[in-house]
Amino acid sequence: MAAVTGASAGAIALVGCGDDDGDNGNGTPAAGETPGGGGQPKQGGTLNGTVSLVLGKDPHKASTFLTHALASYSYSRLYRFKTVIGELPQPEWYTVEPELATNVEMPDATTYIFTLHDGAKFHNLPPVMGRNVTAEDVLYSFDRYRAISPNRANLDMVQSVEPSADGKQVTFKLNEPFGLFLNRIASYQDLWIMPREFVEESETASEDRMLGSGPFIFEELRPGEVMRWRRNPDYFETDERGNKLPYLDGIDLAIITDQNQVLSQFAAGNLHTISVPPQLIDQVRSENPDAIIDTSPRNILSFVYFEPATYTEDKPPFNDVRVRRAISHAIDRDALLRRVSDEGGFWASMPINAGFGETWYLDPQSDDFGENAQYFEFNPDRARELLAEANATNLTVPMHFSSTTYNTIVPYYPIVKDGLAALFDQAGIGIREVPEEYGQYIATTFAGQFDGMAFGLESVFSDIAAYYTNMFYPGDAGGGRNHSSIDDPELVSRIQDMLRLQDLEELRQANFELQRYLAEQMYYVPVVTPVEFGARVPQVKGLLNTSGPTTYGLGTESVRTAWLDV
Amino acid sequence: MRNYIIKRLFLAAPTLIGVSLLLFFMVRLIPGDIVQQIQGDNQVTEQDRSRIERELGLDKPALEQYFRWLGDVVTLDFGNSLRSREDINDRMRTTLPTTIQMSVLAILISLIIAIPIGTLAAIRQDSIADYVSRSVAIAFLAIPTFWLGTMIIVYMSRWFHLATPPPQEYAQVWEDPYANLKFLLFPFGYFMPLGPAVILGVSLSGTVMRLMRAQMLEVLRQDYVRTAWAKGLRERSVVVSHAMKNAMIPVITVIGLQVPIVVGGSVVVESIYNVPGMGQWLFQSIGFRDYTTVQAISLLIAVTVVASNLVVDITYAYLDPRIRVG
Repeated sequence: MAAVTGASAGAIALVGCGDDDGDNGNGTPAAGETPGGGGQPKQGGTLNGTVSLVLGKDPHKASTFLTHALASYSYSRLYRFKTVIGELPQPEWYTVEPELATNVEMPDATTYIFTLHDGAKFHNLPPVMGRNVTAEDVLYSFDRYRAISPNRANLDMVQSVEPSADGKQVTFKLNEPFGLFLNRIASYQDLWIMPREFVEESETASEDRMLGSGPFIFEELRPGEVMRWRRNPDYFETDERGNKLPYLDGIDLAIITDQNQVLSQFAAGNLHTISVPPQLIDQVRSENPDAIIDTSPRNILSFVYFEPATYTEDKPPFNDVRVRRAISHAIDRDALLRRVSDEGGFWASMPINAGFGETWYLDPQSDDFGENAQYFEFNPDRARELLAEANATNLTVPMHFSSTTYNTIVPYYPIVKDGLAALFDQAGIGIREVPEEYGQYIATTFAGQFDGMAFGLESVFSDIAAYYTNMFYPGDAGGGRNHSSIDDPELVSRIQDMLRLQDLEELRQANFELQRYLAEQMYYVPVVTPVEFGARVPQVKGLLNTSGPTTYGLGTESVRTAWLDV
Repeated sequence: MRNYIIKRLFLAAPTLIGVSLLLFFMVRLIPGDIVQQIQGDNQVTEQDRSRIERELGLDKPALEQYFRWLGDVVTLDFGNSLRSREDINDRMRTTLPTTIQMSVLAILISLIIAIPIGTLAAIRQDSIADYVSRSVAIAFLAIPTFWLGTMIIVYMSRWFHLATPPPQEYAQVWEDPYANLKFLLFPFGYFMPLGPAVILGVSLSGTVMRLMRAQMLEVLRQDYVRTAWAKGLRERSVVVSHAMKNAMIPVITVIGLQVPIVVGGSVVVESIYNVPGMGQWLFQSIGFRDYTTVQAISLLIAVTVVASNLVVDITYAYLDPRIRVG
């Protein structure tokens, strides 16, 4: 999870987990209907969604997606992720489009010149009073982000940012080519544009309210009750017919921590959209026969990882690749997916999982994966053989996991964890479960201070590069999520080569090669990506599908085009 | 009596100081500190740690932090949340009355249920009414609040498509008493008193009901009650005027001791019913290692418990003069 900071975060139930309503039942737009579907958009209405908790309002200071997702209603980025329609994942998944920028020029492989949208204005509130967004604001935001953001390493490749004299262009100069730079600029974790005079108005201004150039104006936060926005009448974007966006008059996110409450409020008609834990999807379907159920995999990587001494001190048993492969052979990924829901899901590949779509994810069940797909095969007998060959029979190890927070943020986590324990037992691998409160888990196990092995979820990043660098680079070279202190110079060199590629197809193929290589090594053992669910009332239209909500830029990516057919 | 109260107040002071010390240091010993929480699952560099600690005032020696905090608390300034930076006092203005109101309602409801039933069970000992009331009391004690609350939410939704009012419709009692009481007592409609205060009150009533019955049985066997019967007084007069007053003394003590149970129960009930009170806030703050918020809420709870015990002692002393003399 992207910095799920804090226990009891509750279910993610942010507005916007669905595709459009102009579909034919399977998520594909019906002939003759516009993207977003359902006929001519209507202005007005308040969309009622829910959020489990609010952890601050400043997207630069925040490490948690919860804040970034909320910021997306009020703030904008230079680029954003494209919303795509229909069933997910699909090829356009995780492609980017301009937001505050109108276009980008690249005179060379390390220079990006963004031209800003002429009509982009900050909200018409003191102290900015609706002034234009300028290149100086981009520079200010970048400097501030780089000084205080917990995620600032994401833009380490930026050497300098220079605004043009007329304030209409801003140039980013990189240290070296980085083929996925626009994806990084569009990331929910990073460069939200904030006006200086607002931030510097007082020490707590950016935490007291939100003031950006996004489609909705922050109105109020009543802790434990509701977070509320109203329409930004001066928002700079229009739809294809020239109508001003957004259509909605406002957004109300009810703050609800208890999942039963969320379902109950939805059944009573008090909420328009919710996220649904897989184990409750049948209940939602039966209680709400008219509701539209959306499904998609989220780009949350579930994986088993090993104690760092495995790689730093060559410590048995996991230093032996045969043992790591045995762990993978012990996992019946299809059974785990069935355990979560009848809708199934995908086998995870390392480090890119199905939530990224076929552009970046190489399905271990596909022919394209090649011979290394064998290491994903469920084969407990082979697992026993490998353990015997490695002199690791009667293996009994602790397995650390988070016993709080994940359970509510990612409801399939405890189900998969229980399934794993049973499967390991079948393959003769003894597991001693070590449950850890989330804060403790993040500070110890996730940070690489543990013994035996662990089952976890990776932070959610917006591009594949972040997974490779974070999980496989040395800790002091950008490997902030190298949980097992993996030290493979050849792998690092191959990742570096890949990230310099400018041609996306070449980059894609290099990424596939790395996924094959990592299957062979099983430094981390990828598990599964179950399909996740959202439900919404049929009256919600034009809510284009983002990524489940895993791009976390819902406000500007999806909700700006949503409307209510009432 | 005045001396007794002063003596009790002096005794309360060291208790609260001890509690404040425990709170301040224990919350900091939980693995995964506030800096790690703020950084999320990002690696915490030394540079990040020192910057955040400086911003939050955590770079000072622990004792200095403690005394500074204590000094502020004495002036009723609880500072800012370390996690969200919100003013704790501001938020308390809405959450504290909510929790207090819910707790008071719960205690009142528990008394309304327990005292008549407990009394009836005693005066009709070994009758069907007695057996039924004892079974009910055991059931109220045995059924966990979180289970009962969850079942109500789930089945009201499943069977009747009814939900509690959405959280944004919650109003303080001084803003809209009607909406407020509806939320806490009758969220599904007036014919279904299944609100959070009711659930909490029901769970409390079991203990009081059993105690009330036991005390009434004891008192009803006392000589002065027998004398009252012998004088030919009516049953109502004997029970209400003579027996109940004395039977209530230990019951009042128990009510005082139930304050921490009510506060603990409110954490769960507030989450289930989405009541924007202190319980839910405390629960989340512990997860975030939000030291200042946890300290503030916990200290308030401690003060409430100490104060309620004080009130019980004073009431007890008022009802039974031997105590203050002793």
